[in-house]
Amino acid sequence: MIPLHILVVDDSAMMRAVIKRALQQTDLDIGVVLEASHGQEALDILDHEPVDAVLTDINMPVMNGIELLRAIDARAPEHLLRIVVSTDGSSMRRDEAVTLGVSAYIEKPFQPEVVRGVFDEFLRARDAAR
Amino acid sequence: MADAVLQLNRTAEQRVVVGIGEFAVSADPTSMIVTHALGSCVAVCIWDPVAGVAGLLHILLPDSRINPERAAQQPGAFADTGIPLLFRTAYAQGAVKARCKVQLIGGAEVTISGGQAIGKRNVLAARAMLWQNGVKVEREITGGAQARSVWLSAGTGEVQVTTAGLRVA
Amino acid sequence: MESSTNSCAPVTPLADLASIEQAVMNVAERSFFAFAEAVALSTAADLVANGAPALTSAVHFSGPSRGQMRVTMPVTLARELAQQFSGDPSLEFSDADLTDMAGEFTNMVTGAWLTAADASSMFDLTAPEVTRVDSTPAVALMMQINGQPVGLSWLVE
Repeated sequence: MIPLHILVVDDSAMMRAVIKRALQQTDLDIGVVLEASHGQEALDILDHEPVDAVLTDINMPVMNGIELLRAIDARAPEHLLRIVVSTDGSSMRRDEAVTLGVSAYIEKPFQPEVVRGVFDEFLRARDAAR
Repeated sequence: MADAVLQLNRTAEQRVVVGIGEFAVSADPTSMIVTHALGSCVAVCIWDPVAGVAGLLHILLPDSRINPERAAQQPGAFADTGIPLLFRTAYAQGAVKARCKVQLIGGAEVTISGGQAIGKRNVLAARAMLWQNGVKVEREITGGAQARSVWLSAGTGEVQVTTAGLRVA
Repeated sequence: MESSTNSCAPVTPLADLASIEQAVMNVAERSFFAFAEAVALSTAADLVANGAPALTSAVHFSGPSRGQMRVTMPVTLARELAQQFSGDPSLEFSDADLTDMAGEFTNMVTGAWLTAADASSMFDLTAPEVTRVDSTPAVALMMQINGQPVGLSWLVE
């Protein structure tokens, strides 16, 4: 299995640490977990680092998660898994996220196994495609 | 210290019955580890499919600070002392934490306990311990108002849950 | 700034005490594995008992409704939440970490409350503004999380 490079975007350092811990409790082979505190930092990282999956909050300063997802979508990346992790669980926000290429939506507060469930699905789909 | 780990009950079914505050670990594929009367109590079931090690702990209360004397006598009665003991015993029989699949069953509110919500507190305490120790929970069958029984096969790791004699999971 | 449910304003889901209690319980249980319950309003003084400092976090929201949520907790609760959240009770947390934790808790409670009130509409939240307080704030709801006090007040415009 090729180790995954994952980018976690959230203005809360505590939340980023928890997401990272939840990722480590999955069966994923994780290479690197990168962190950004807002969308612009995330774009800067994406410009320079190989990333397989992005988990992003919505409400963030400087550049929010929707703006980040729009910017990513405009680049038409191949094979970049995009996941939202947000307190906004509204159907409108979820629908908006789907139009921006988001594959999974994790609503805060979440139990750690939810993160695993999202990636289990991603791995299944990836293995099936091979 | 009371015997927390039961000796295998050598019946034809190799059934190991775990009481309140007790636990059992087995690498015998013919063993069936069983616990009953899971009202507000919580059963923590673990299974390492590679080592073939199964364990079941029947927790009564969330925090050993409630009754340190009892915790010293029966550490399995409390989530914070019982869970580490369950895992250490499993490790001694070859289980590896990263491979362990964990299920939580119980934590119902079956009696009017003056709003103490012991069932919920037990579930939360077990969850907190597992999170602290980097252990993922595969399945949780908790809450509600009915007592449950659990059968854990040490041959397959399968967990069966019954309520009033009927299988519910 | 604080909202009272016995005002002349009509009761809406957003002004409903029970919905806020439920939001706090959901957040406490799912992300912190902590037990939360409502307690008497008269316990508000416990927030700054014995001169211990507390943190008040304010999150403003906009969307179908506008307003804010304020959550006050002793620093000791912020530390316990950080320990539970991170899963490492041995970690030392800086003041910045505790501020972050108090703010993120308020962020999650606000989001859970708004989503439960109206699951179809989007809302925007500001970043939490966290300040240290030394005197008992005015609150509309007192709860305990793992036995420690937390006070809430909210305004729906």
